[in-house]
Amino acid sequence: MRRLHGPRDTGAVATEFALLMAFMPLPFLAFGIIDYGEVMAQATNLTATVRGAAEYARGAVVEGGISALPPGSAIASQLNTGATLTTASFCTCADGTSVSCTWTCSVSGDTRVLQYVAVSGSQTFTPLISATWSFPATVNARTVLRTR
Amino acid sequence: MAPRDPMVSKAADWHRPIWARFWRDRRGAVAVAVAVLLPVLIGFAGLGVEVGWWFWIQRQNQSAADAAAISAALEIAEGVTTNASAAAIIAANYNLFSTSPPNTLTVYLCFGFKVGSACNTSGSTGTPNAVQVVLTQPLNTTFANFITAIWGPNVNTVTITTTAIAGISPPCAAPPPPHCVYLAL
Repeated sequence: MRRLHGPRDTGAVATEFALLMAFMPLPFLAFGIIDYGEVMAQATNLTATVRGAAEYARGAVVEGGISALPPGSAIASQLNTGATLTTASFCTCADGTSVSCTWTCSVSGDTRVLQYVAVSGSQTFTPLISATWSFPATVNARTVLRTR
Repeated sequence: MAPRDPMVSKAADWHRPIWARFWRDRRGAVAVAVAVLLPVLIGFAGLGVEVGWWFWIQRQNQSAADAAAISAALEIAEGVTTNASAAAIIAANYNLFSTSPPNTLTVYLCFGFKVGSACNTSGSTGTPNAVQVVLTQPLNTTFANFITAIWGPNVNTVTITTTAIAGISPPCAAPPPPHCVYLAL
């Protein structure tokens, strides 16, 4: 009976630790790192997906001309990805100035028009502690490859 | 055994010097332990985050290096070798790689290149048949700096290096035939 009613400090350290943790940023740190890791994993996956999509789009344009540039949704279903992909193309002169693709450049005698395909991808991300950390709600990636 | 009431033990050693009483006082011991351990926990968690960030930058830069190599190879395929570096820089910038210092972009012309072999920059004959682009980006470290300072010289910058080779398979008259330029690495 003395053990039941007398003063005991068994478990006091555990209690104290639990109380401290409740006020400490450690749980937030732990969940924050989980969220961070998830964002990093998704960003890396999306970068790889967009890279693959850009090479696919470049191949299509090199083979069949700019009219053969596939829409982003077609590549997304090919790659079986849930990310939203969009494709675009643009043209520049050799010095990097943007021009219409039907333009004739003149950069110190260089009349070529350089053509690029751009693939952008985005997907939504839901963090575990969104109210505390302001992670980006969407993860984005973009790759630009030259076709000629 | 006497009960370990803190106030009792406190009263029992009232005659000791203040540092001895502080040392013997058991109250708040966990708070002290947590205060000592928390910087270690945060330091290593931060190190994990930081290293993850390096690898992500490396992935991004790899895309930029590939795009730069393709663009530089197209310049050579189209017979404008002098513009290869400028084209590589433009392509890398389109892919979010800043070429302003301290970042660097170097273009090497490879002679007699075969897929799977290294870039031979000192070839003597013929035209280059591949282009190697090397990007470097030094990153300032935060957590890695603190943690490496514990045991030795601190690592205050980490250089992210990415390499890409684009091959050119002749004949490549302008405009190049399909797949004249291919990504080799």
